Amino acid sequence: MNKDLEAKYLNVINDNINVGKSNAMIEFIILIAGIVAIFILLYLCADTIGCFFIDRMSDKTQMQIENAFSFGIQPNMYKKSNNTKKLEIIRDKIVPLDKKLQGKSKFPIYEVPEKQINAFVTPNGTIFFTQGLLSEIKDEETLTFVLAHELGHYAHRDHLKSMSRQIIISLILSLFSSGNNNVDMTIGSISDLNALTYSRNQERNADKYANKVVYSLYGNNQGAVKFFKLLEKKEKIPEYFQYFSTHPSTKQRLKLIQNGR
Amino acid sequence: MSDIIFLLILLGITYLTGSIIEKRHFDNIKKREIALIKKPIINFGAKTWHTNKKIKKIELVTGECVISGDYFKNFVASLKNFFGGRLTTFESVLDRGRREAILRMREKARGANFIINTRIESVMINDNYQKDTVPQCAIIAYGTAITYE
Repeated sequence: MNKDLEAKYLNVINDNINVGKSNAMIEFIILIAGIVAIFILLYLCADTIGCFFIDRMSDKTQMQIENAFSFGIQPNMYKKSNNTKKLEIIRDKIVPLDKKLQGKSKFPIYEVPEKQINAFVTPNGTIFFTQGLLSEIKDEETLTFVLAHELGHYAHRDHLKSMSRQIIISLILSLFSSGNNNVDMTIGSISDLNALTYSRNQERNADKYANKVVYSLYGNNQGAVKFFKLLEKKEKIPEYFQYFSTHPSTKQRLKLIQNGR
Repeated sequence: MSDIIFLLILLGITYLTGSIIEKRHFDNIKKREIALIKKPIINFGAKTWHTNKKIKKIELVTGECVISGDYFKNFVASLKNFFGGRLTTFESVLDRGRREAILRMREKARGANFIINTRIESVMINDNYQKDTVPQCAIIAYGTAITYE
């Protein structure tokens, strides 16, 4: 009798019914997958709707939004140089080609004292070129390609789209997490990667746009090809790393330019 | 980007360390429980208890344990908060805490014949209103140890 009881107790100790049998790691993976799936679905829906309205927005509304968002930009602190004058001449050639660029911003061009090779456009149409880019590229056709790429972003209203994307993301975030820090962190990291893929799609479109501009101005796209060959020489990031970068890999961009007219 | 890598590294490390610590704790608990099988019997909920034997000593015995989940467990639980369901990662933590507290109480009652009127209480000792606090739980087991003459 006593021995039976002892065996029973031993059995109870070894077989613990109070603890769930499932593996925590598997549970974790399932939870993450669920949150990712729901987030991506919501994000895609909201983003498609946002882009749909932005593409159909009138020019007047666009100007109003731009003015509202760009009060903080003070380009006066950057200097004008011979390089920017050269760029302004090119700009005056590009703008009459597209109706989307006319009657909005004046597209002032400024030089930023940075060594990196980069150029960017702010929401009100101000275009910045880095010193590194201007000292590296002197060729007119190449400069046309870079400038047309930035103008392409403006013409496609990419700045408004990325703004709406930011708003949507923060909205979904606050819906989901409601103050829960860990969920916040997870979703924030996911949404970072998504924003990048989207912006790469925009880069691709801007490349196509710039390619078209260079073709119509010079009859060939030597400028674009030269620009990417130069970039290829400069960058040392391996190709598999490209999911984490904002632009498509240079090889892909070169291919796109050479194939599409 | 660095955020997600840092988070994943942290989760991986705490998963490994947490599961090692938990396994060791369970092994330790099992060993002590098996050793204590023939020792004082816990008598839950007996408010009135009669005996004809002479009693030498009546004593209050307590066992306390404060326990917390690791970073990985807390993370999974807070994700689960969103969907709902059993928080299985905390179940093992609570189980460890309860068994540890009872074991300590029984170890304290060494030499006694009975522990009657045993109760188990648990208290959350973290600040609920403050963000970023670690869920911690204090578990107290107490009872009356009785020794015959």
